[in-house]
Amino acid sequence: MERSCRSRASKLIVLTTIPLVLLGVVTLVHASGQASWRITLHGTDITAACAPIDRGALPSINVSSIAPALGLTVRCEAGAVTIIDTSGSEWKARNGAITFESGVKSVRMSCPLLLQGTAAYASVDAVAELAGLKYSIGSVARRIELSSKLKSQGAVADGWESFTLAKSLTEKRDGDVYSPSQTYLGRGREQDLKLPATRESLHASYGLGYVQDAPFGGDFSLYGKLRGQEITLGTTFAVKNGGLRTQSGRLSLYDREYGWGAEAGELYTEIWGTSKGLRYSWQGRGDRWPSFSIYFNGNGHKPVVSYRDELSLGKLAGFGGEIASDGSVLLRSRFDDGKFGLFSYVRNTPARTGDGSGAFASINIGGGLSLYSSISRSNDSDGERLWRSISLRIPIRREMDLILERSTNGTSRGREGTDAAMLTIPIGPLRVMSRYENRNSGRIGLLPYSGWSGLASKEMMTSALYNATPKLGLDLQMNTRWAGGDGQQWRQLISTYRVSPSTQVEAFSAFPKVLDLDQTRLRLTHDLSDGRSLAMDYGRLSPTSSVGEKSPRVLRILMQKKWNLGAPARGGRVHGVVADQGGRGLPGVIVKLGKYQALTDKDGKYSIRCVPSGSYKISIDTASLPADYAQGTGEKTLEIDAKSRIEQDFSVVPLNSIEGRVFLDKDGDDTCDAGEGVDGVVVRRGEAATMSGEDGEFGFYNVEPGSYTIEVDPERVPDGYQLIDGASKTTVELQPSRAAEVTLRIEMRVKPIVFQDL
Amino acid sequence: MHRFFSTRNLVILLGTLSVASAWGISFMSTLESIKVEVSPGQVVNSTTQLTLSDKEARTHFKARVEDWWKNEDGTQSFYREPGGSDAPKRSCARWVKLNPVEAAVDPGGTLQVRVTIEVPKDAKPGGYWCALTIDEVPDPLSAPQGVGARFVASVSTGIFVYITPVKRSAKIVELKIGKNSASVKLLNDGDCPIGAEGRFEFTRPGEKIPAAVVVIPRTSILPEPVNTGIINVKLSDATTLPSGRYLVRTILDIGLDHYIGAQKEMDINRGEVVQVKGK
Repeated sequence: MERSCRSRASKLIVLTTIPLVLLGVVTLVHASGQASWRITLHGTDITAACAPIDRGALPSINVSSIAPALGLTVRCEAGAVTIIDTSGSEWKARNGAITFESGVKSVRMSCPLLLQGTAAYASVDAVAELAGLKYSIGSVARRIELSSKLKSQGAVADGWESFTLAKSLTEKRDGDVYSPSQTYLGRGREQDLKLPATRESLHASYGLGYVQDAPFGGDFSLYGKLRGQEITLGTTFAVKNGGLRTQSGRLSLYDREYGWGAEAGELYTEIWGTSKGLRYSWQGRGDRWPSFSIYFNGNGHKPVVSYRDELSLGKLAGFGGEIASDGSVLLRSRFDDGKFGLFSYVRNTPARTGDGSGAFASINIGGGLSLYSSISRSNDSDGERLWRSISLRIPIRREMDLILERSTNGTSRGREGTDAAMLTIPIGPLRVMSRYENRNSGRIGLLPYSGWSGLASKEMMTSALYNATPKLGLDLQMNTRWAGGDGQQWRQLISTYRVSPSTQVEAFSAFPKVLDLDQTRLRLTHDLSDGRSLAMDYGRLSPTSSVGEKSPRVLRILMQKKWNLGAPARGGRVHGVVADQGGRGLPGVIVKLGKYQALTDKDGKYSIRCVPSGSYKISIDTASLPADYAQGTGEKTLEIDAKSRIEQDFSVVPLNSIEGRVFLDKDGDDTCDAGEGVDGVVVRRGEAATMSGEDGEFGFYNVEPGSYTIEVDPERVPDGYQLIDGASKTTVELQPSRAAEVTLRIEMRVKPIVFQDL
Repeated sequence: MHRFFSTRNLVILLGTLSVASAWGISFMSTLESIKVEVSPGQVVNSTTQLTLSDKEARTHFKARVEDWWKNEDGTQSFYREPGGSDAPKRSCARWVKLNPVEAAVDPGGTLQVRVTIEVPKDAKPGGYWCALTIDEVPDPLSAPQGVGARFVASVSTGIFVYITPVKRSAKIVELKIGKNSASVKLLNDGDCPIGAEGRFEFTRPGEKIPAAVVVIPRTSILPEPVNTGIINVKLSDATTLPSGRYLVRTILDIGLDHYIGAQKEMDINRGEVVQVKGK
């Protein structure tokens, strides 16, 4: 025993000495680093400590000491530093991190962040970037220069000195070139497209607990979606007798798309509570999910098969129940229209606990006033029991309620009655909740609450919550009980202090002896990185213990971890190609499938995976087509389920132009020469019309391939001109690959010469 | 069809939403400039739209692409049909296709023009540009006979194509501070159009906060055929900026990760009339 104590003492000395020695070494090295660098900010020397550096690395400056000069605000707390730059953006980094993160951007440090108390040593490049400055390092003279003025560019005319200035991070972010907006179509366009999620959320967590003088225990849970199936797995286990034993567990799988579900393990049934068993459910008409279950109850009971179903009668009412092979039956009904609700049940379990029935009614009177009443009857091995209650909720003002409650619980041997009143009172930051109970017992009388003759007791429970600061909360709980003339009282103060966003300490102590460690229990909760959290309890007093009770001091440690696994999603696939008649695929075309969009690749191919089941309209976004193409295949409707593999191609039509000139053949050579064009002439292509411009030029653009008649509009021939048969009208065959050219000839209207007879 | 318009009538803005009012208030429109960052051989589809005021009558429009540049002080813009001998070598007009080219728009309606830019595979890195012009033209079916296709109003916006890597660079080559105005002359020695904006700061010697700040509005400066641009600004009134000695700083943002600037301590004479009160 003595040796053991000596051994522990020596370990303690070693454990305390090593950090002290290390701290001393770091302090010495640090001190040497502080003296060896000179920092100049905007040409003025400033005082700032530097951390020791590795060979070839950039020096790290204590950003806390020069923050005001840099226009930064620095907060060091709980192993992390927060820096607020001049634009108000917050940058966070933990001790040892190599990046400052703002949530949307990160600034990289060339060496890890070093935190020592309120000193935060960050590499000079990161400090300069956060301050919107440039830096230069003179390695020989060990000098760091920080400045917004980079360097002189020489002289401009008339003695002007030119210079350049660094931009702040915000200015860079909001700048024209370095943060392309959506108008930069060449990139970032894919980010605007909405595609079905290819991963579904699947979460897992485990907890490991240690309680002093008790076996290790833990739990594991899994919930979320896996290939479209809802999965839930929950299990608790313990280490007993050197082995791992499962204490309870339940696995459920539901596939709502295909209308089935299965459960195994601890199943809940309204007939007799929780049992081990198997259950299979399927989707019936409407929202019905009937199920067959088999329960293995143990304790000499044979396996029981049951059928469960529920039928809705409109949206307001329904009834259902479960019937089992051992004769057990549960029937229940419901009605709820928002103002009045009535729920009732009848249960008969002859092979087990007997029978029972009950009803619960709620009435929303209006103005926040509500009335609740319930009655239940059971008949089991203890005989018949009748329980009745009625309560009234009276709102007094905002967040202030008075609840009055009366209940009786009667058996063949006697009955108990309780009258209670509960009041919630908010007083500024203080929130007081109080409940007063008056309990009586006696023989069953003919009238309710008449002839109380047995023991009576009274109890007053009060809780006063006070949030002193955003970090500190106090909860004083008091409980006083009077029975047979004696009074018992216990008071407890729960103090909660949030040390940092990730760490919280709670103290459960007797009141007013808050410093009595014999009656205090401490709890520390701390969120670690990567979804891990740690909770530790140590102490004696449990929240519900009376002051006089002396339970042993207990250490309890609970470690938890959560993951987001992200399982593959399920869904149909739609794919195809957008191409013209010649088979040439069109890149960059948006294919719309309901609310989803995909972009065609360089070969015109697109693919949309993991499409949830349903009916979708699919089409190409004509606005995304090249200007010289028109839509061929129109909108289609697709029915998609999880197994669908649908190929849907789209054709597009290349467009071309018909261009030409209207001319007056002045020299009679039958060709359109310079200066012979006629402007202001209306030219038709069927319904389409245009007007010739300068030098008689006209054009019909973005025209689908085909045969067209192009003519001078006979009804709008300009004054002084007339049409020429066969020359003012022509037919053209427009090919997809080549623009067509035409000429239309008109002539001057010739006034007829009327000869007179002389 | 060589034409000339003043910048009062046609609006080319670099990278900003333009609200263009055409001459003669014939129609009001919004026409957004198009900026794309692409690789050689890439095809980019975009749309731009023009909205007709609901107070206007049904209007016929024609869209087309032109070469565009401007003179040094920005007071004149030059528009040419693509491919002319005097056109900028960095014109992208021939890469652009439009649809529709001609359409009628009802009052309050919108003309949405699909713009496809097909960058040649052998295009060299740098910035390329042209103008998308939408003209109001007479409706061919309702125009009185004898009316030619002379347009009655027009609006233009810029199409800017950046083939990476681009060289964005400019130098301040001249500064003038006058009695009531100041000007800065920039030389675009890069290979792409730049948008320059900034400010003049006038700080009294020994002081840190400027006594007056004059904003230099955003102006585009092309790399050719005229690669210089003079930006003129009006100085603050003499009450804010009286005569005296100042450190004058010009700070310009040309889209780089830093500003460029120039400074000089000088006397400024605003020519105020000093009133002497008699007893």
